[in-house]
Amino acid sequence: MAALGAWGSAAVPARLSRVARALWGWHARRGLGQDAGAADGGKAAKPAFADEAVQKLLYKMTGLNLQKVFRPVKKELKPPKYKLMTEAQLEEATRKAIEEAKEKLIMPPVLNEREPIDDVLAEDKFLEGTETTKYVFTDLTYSTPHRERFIVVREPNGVLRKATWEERDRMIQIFFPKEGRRVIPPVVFKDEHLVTVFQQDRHEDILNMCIAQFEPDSPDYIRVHHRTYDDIEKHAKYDLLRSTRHFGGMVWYLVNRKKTDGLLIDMIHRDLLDDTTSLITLYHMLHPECQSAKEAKEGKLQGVDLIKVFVKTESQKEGYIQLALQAYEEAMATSTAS
Amino acid sequence: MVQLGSRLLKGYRGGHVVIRFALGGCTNRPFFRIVAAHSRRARDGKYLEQLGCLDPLPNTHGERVAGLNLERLRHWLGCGAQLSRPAEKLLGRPG
Repeated sequence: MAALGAWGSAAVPARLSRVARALWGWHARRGLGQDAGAADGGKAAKPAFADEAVQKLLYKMTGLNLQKVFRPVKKELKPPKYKLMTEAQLEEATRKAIEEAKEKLIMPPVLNEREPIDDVLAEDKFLEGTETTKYVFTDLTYSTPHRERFIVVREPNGVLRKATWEERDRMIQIFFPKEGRRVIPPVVFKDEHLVTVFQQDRHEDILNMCIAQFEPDSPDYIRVHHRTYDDIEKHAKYDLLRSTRHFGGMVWYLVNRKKTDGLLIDMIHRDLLDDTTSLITLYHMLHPECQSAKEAKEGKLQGVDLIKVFVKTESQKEGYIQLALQAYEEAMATSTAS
Repeated sequence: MVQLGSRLLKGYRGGHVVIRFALGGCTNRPFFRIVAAHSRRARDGKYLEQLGCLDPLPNTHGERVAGLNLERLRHWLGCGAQLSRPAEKLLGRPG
């Protein structure tokens, strides 16, 4: 049977996201690093961000809304192209689309803040007073990775020291410019301006800009991300990030600080039971000493029971979650009855 | 001795390779390129290789930015290039 498939304007059924999730199942996914640097977020005892199991859970929760992932980026206007395909070709095309979408959903790494560099290489008192300004020397050898480049500063008082991280980033951007990065970080990343961005609901755009501009372990990157996640959690706008690559990072942040209640309620409202269970599993992986983790391990609970145990022991907004669960169960009952 | 048999169209008598500054930029805005060239060439003329740059005016953070391609510098110094006075001073600063 021939079926019309337009690329960009939808004949893809919304059911596809659930089907796709079932299809790829336990496909292993590792969050790859952005630029240089190992994606090793973790302390040895607790599970780290880059662990297989953690990544699987986070990826399952991110969801795969093809519409949103391939939402057209603003380019020049072209009329949509229509192709005439058979059923088999349509499936092939959707499969390829899923592959590409998985590429786009690779999560940026979550790392600890980097230590400030404070290393003096030489102190030459006889150079004091010969110049009035600092000299910054950068090693331009093409084959050294940016992390290992020598960037040193000779101060007017004769001290030769290694450059700070901000100076390093600036110099590397001047000599080896990367697309999407400015030499001086844009003013929009200051706190007072972030508020304006959040009011316009453009969390995803600002996070993309932040990834392009800063290194994943710089304090600015971490600060911007934390502010964004806090704002989303305060206004319960979880759906803005749902099918993007930032969702995993947000969930990681919330679970580490035990602020998962709003997210739970949101998931239950949208009937995403699998996501709720994976969220609670992740919580137990990260906080194995809490009450609900022990009970879950003893009883080997699944599904709705797990949620109920979790809600009783861990959450602050118990009432809301109970209400949401009741509503969901009633909806399930009516749908199975009819 | 003309070094390296480089394919210069100008034949020289004598002369050697130097690492020196070539001046570029606009009026009241100098910009130096650190360059390995034949000593008999014009200051801003054809050079063998560019090894870096120096901006003598301080930027908004009060720094004078300089870049040096250390690997190629070592190569040329190994081939026996000489340094001009200002180039010596610049390379002496980072040690």
